[in-house]
Amino acid sequence: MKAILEDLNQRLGARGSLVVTRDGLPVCAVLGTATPNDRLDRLAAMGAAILSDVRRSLAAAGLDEFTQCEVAAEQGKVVLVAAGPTYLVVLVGPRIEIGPGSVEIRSAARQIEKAAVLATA
Amino acid sequence: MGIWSGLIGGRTLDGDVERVRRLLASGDLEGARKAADKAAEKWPGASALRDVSAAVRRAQAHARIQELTARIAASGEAVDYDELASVYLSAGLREERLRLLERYAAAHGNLAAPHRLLGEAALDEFFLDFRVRDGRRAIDHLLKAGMLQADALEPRLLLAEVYFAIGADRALLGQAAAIERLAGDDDVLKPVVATLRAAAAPTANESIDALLAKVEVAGALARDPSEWSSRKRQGIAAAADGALVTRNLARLVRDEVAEQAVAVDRAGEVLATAGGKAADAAEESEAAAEGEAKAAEPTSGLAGVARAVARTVRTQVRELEMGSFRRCVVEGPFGVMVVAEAAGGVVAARARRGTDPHRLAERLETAVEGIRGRKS
Repeated sequence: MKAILEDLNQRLGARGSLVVTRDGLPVCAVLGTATPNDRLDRLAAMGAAILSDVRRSLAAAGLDEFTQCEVAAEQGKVVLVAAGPTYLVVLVGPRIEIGPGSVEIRSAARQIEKAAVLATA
Repeated sequence: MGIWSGLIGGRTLDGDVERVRRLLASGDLEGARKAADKAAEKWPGASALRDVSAAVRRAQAHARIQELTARIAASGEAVDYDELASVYLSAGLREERLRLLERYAAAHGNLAAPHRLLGEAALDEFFLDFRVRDGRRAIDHLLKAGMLQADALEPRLLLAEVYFAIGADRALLGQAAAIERLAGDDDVLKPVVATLRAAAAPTANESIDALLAKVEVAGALARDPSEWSSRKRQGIAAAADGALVTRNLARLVRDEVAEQAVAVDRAGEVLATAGGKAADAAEESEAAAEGEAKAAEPTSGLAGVARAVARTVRTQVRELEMGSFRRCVVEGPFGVMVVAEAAGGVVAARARRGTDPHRLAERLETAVEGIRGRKS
């Protein structure tokens, strides 16, 4: 899984990426040099907060779970994509025009989904 | 060519704009500003001139920031911190200003001014998204400023604002007494003191941190200080009236840009909705029939997602030091949902699958920000 994330970061020029469970627990993470390791907990917490809050409000409205979510801020962007029983969280800089629909992210999510299914089988 | 451009340069808008650009490129910022001001008198409202004037102002601010930053690094004089803080303020660089004021307060901890400025800046941040950390920081520094300059009125008024807003009545009465002692005979402040005293109910004990936390969790202030203070109400409600926002959101639905749209103020209050009303109304009447407690809250799924984003995602984005929140796009079998920052609040829309979320977000922001632009 780590190799998938490393490859994704390199291809996108991402600041970091991680795989979190649907409860928001980090499974695997690869952060770039610009993102210190102590940010991992914060990033995982952010992923968990978005996951739980958005999912809860969608469920309250009787809507299905989301498959992808993108949070854009002044100095960066966080992309969350469903990857089987987990979510892939990618942190990119503000100048990178990339969304959840990107081929690289979708491909990585599919690979992670396969890896996660194999790990739980 | 040179003669012609010189002759035409003084007569046409393009010539004036070109002249400002040349001065800017040559590094003569003062000359560029003067030329831009002079041209603005001749061509008021010209957008090309407005853009180049803005570029000149940005360049001037940038140069001043560099100069003051170097001076602070060399000598660390309080006056340089003061000036740089005001440059940051006028350039709209809030985060940079806060960081500078923190350094200022650390370097000149015995002066009241840095604590007052930092307290005020933190208070502004607190009123934007109600975070405990900003509220606590504001109170700590304003108290310190009040201690260092016992006869200063401003820290007391700012403290009264935050205590009033979070419902810290015991502390509020203390500040009301202090304001009365310092300026009790001031005709402007007399009604303020009376308002504070009338609002506050004496309590034996209160925890400021608990009250701050309550505000952060609820996403709403206990009371609105703009009723008596000079603090302007921020957010969509202050920027535009609800009817206009509703009309603009309805247009998005009518033009089939979105199936449903909603505007939520920074306190989580739904200001305007468009589309999907039938479903929501049915849901609400069902909830009311069942006598559920949640009947007081709008049951719109879109409003719920918008509120979740307004409360959680914006806070998390700041925690990660990613600057201010812009937008959140959620996609799933239900279609596309966009929640975007607009005029201090958030606007949200739901559209069919396959809709371009960025285009939708732009239309949404324009629906609210466009109104603000016209009003100001």
